[in-house]
Amino acid sequence: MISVCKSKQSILSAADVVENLVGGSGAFATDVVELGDGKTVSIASLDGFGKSAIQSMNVEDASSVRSADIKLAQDLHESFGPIREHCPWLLNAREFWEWIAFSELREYALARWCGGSDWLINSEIPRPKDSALERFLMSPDSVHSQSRHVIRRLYIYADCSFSFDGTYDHISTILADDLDIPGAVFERKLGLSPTLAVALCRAANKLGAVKKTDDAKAISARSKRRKFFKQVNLLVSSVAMEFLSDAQIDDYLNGLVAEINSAS
Amino acid sequence: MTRYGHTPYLQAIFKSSACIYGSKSLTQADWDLIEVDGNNEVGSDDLGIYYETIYEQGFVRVKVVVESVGQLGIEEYLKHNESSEIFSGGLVALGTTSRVRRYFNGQVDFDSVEEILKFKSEVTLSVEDLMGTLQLEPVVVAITELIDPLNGLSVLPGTVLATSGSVVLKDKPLENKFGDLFRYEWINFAESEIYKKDELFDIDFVSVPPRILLNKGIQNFHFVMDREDNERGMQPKSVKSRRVLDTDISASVLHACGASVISRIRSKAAVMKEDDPQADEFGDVFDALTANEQSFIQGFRTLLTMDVELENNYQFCDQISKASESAINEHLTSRMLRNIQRYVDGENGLMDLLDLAGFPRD
Repeated sequence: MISVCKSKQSILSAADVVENLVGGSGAFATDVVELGDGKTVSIASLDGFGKSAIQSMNVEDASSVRSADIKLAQDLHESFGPIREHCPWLLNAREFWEWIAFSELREYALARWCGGSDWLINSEIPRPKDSALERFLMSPDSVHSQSRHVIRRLYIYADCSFSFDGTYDHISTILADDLDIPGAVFERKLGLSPTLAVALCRAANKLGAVKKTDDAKAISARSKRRKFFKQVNLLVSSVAMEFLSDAQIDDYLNGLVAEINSAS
Repeated sequence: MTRYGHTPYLQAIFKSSACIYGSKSLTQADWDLIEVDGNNEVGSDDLGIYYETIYEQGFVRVKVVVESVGQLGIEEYLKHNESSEIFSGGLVALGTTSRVRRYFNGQVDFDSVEEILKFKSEVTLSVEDLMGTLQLEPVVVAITELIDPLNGLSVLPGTVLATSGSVVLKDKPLENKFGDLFRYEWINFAESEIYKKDELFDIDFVSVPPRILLNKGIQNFHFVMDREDNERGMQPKSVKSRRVLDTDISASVLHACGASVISRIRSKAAVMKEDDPQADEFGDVFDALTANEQSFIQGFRTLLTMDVELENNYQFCDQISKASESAINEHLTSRMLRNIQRYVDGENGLMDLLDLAGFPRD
């Protein structure tokens, strides 16, 4: 049976997030989700996934964070199978993700985005940035908010890969070395199509930084990526990418990448 | 630079007729036409249907059928391209809540008698899957590389050549009338740990619908609240005697709501800037607000706006996000205050507040 924990008060801002984190997991009272037809649904405990991710993750080492995120994304998606089957609407409920972030995977979320939980008990340690704390919030109607949530982002990446071809092979393409890429794709409506999202991540990963030489100035991967996504936005303003085949999408996007890479 | 889908190319907006059907069966084709407000024509405007209308009638499936009325406006492409199999017609589905972005294939046929293209597309959806707002946009796209009749340049596969207004399935929005937008509650702030006993009111934007909490403990706030016999159903005194007080409160509530929404927009924008210092577009902040906050902006944007009447809520969020701190402070204490005062000085403010507080009008 799924029990979703609801916060005692509305959580709207970074300050509210801190208040709920200070209260610990116990700040959430438990309410059973009504499925409407008297049925219940069971999922595996998520606690073990969170602990395993924390153990394998060294925040100073981007590669270990990436590996932990990839594994956790798959674990979550596999675990939520019964929810997708019986009550898919739950995956869009704000309370559900609040419960996961503030209770079930609280320690992972703190370790991953807030440098751990010491700052909660030691006032001499500075509070994390608001942009990190607001990752505990989730607005169901906003793709930006959905894909920035401490946990839901991982579920979205896994679901994208799984919807693409029934495997989890593409999570590592989405969560590649440059973590700004999934942000650029999934924080916009581009990420709503699994085919387009996977193709965009694959293409954007080909935009390498250019080192400064005597003849040319350095060009960061970030500036190339900005150029790429500006071009992509131009493209989608006149082309229905949803209509195109995987190969056609790859063709268009690789054309953009080649042009940007050759111009630098 | 390669121009994908060069601009301008021959594009058209066509008129269409959209019908929405409901079925109470998951398997049988027993479709009933669902009546929508207005007529079923869509052109440059969208056709909206509320989920409530579907739920109320107990449907478990919904079918949307869109057909063109008259020519599509892109018939010229046929004269400049050898094959007639150059178009695909269908519906592009976009839903941010249900996370859908896909193409539903339909058909485009050439009517040789009338010499026009005819479009038809339909999609069947399970009511269980409907969440948030789902937009279905009729489009005609190029299947192959085409020659553009306007200038002879080529148009790439996938380019949208013609489009019609969308069918939008959505939740019923909160009404934009003040009294309907909010639910009011009288409570004694002195008996609550959350509120200060001297505060006149508080606004809870999170509950659905949002609530305005009025402090029952303030003497003469509404003196009728202090009368025991009122609780037994006695009528309050003449409404006119409370006019000045009510108008002031109405303005205060509106101002507090406006300031709260503006503060939330700026706080969301600040987080975006913190994350990406080069961010320069903040219209998307609107999507990150709660449904109540969005409703408030939708209803009262003309009162909250800083200088010109903006075209939409996204532009409003962008403008508020980019304004300097001093400009916002001045706005809150000057222009916005004047706008609200003018609004409540009319009958609207008073009447809305009376609706809000549940009093009969005299």
